[in-house]
Amino acid sequence: MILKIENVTHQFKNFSALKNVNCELSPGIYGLLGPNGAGKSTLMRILVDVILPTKGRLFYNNKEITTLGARYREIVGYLPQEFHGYSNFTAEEFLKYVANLKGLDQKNAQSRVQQLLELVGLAEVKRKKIKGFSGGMKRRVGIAQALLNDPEILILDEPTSGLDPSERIRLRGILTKLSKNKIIILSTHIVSDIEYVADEVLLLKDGELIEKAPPSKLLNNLLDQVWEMQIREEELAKYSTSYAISNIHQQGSKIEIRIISQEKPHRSAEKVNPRMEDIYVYYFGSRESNAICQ
Amino acid sequence: MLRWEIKKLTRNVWNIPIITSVICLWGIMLYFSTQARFWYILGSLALGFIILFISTRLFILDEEEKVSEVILTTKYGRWNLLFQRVMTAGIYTTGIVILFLFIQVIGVLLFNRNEIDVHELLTVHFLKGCLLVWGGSVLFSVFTACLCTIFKSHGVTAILSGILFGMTYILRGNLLQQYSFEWFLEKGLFSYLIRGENGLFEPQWVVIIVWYVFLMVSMITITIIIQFRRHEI
Repeated sequence: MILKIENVTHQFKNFSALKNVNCELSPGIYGLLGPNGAGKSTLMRILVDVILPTKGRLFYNNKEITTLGARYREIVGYLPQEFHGYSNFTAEEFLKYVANLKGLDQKNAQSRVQQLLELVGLAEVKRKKIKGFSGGMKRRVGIAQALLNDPEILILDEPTSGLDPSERIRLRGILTKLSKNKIIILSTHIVSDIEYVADEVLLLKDGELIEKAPPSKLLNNLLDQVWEMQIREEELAKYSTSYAISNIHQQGSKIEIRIISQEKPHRSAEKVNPRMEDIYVYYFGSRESNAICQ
Repeated sequence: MLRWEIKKLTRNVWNIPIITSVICLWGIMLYFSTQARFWYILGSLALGFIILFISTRLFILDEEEKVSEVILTTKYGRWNLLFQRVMTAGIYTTGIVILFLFIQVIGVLLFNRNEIDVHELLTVHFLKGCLLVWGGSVLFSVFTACLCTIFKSHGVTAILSGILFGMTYILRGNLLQQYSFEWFLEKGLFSYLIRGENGLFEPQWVVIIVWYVFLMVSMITITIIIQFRRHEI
């Protein structure tokens, strides 16, 4: 099972959302990482055939997905970034409706819906209307609908947004269990989620795929480059202009900062093990920490 | 699939208020013994309102509830669903027309104070009118469905269709020159049919039929082209 992305470019008027993206995906979990506007959602929408790329093609097992049409959609599960569900439907009714559109027969749909409601922890509220659901509950309905047809390609755009930590852990467990014979692509801003579950990370910056590697390899690249040190508050501006800062923590009168640098930034600096957040800052910078420092 | 689409329409919050207010208005009209004139303005307006605010919403609900992308990635979420939804809008409209006509017949039979010739009303006016009301309503629901699909906005659809639908009530047909622009505005935008006017039995019926065939074929073709360009079918 191979999903091949070949020279995919997508243009929105004068803005290039994706620029010549090339890669091959085989079964496993892929984490899509990039800042807002990097083209993650656009790539996902192209992968599920919701939009056509301006240039380039997508192949599933050497067959172009636009030619496969409904046969391709039959093996795809998708959770978009924005998803609410029909407010006047109950969770059970909504899932049955989507199951119907996905071509599941009534008997299969019934058992699959119950099974998924249990899996995402909504079995007790299955007869409650979606309009009464919290953001996290709606997200779980979204995850359940994506899994209805037991898809070979599962694409989840920010599946963990709005989920509490225990729900995130549960989702990570579900994805790991499912990943054996599936291509799972997920994007999230919670980089630790990717660190825990992804077999490979795709880094997107300004519409370009800048890296595709396992998290361990990316972390190894940063070995001996991550430092922690304590500084005075007035020194923060100086360090923020010279180094990439991945964390700032106030500790009494001093500030503890986490720096990414090839050289030791200060004699008091201590080398620490890199984390996925450091990778993010290394590749994409940290607007947040710079803003705090200014 | 059809069952689920009908369920979506029947769950619309506007259903009960509109049907209740129609029945209440009818009650008031009956009190004043003007039953026969009800359909001409208020009944047809209520039907237009139901089509615009309930049946048409079926075509924008996916956008409003942020599920359109989910639907588009399902096996039957494109051509098949569009066809099913047009069918649902037609079935729902037929149901509402039958309900309204039933209420009117019951009203005439129960409360007529011999001011109306019941036999003439039911056989001559009503039977002829029924066909036009039903045909006009179904065509109007398909027309608004197409507009809603094109603009992806219920507000724009309601305003545009509302203006077009209201033409019959504004323009005076007997003062208009035959086949003029205003004549088409008055007779060619559904409300003329929904009011139960006997347009199809008038001498110019051929022109009216040709116009409606042209209007509907154009609208459906434009909708399909736009849907195709958006990669939605």
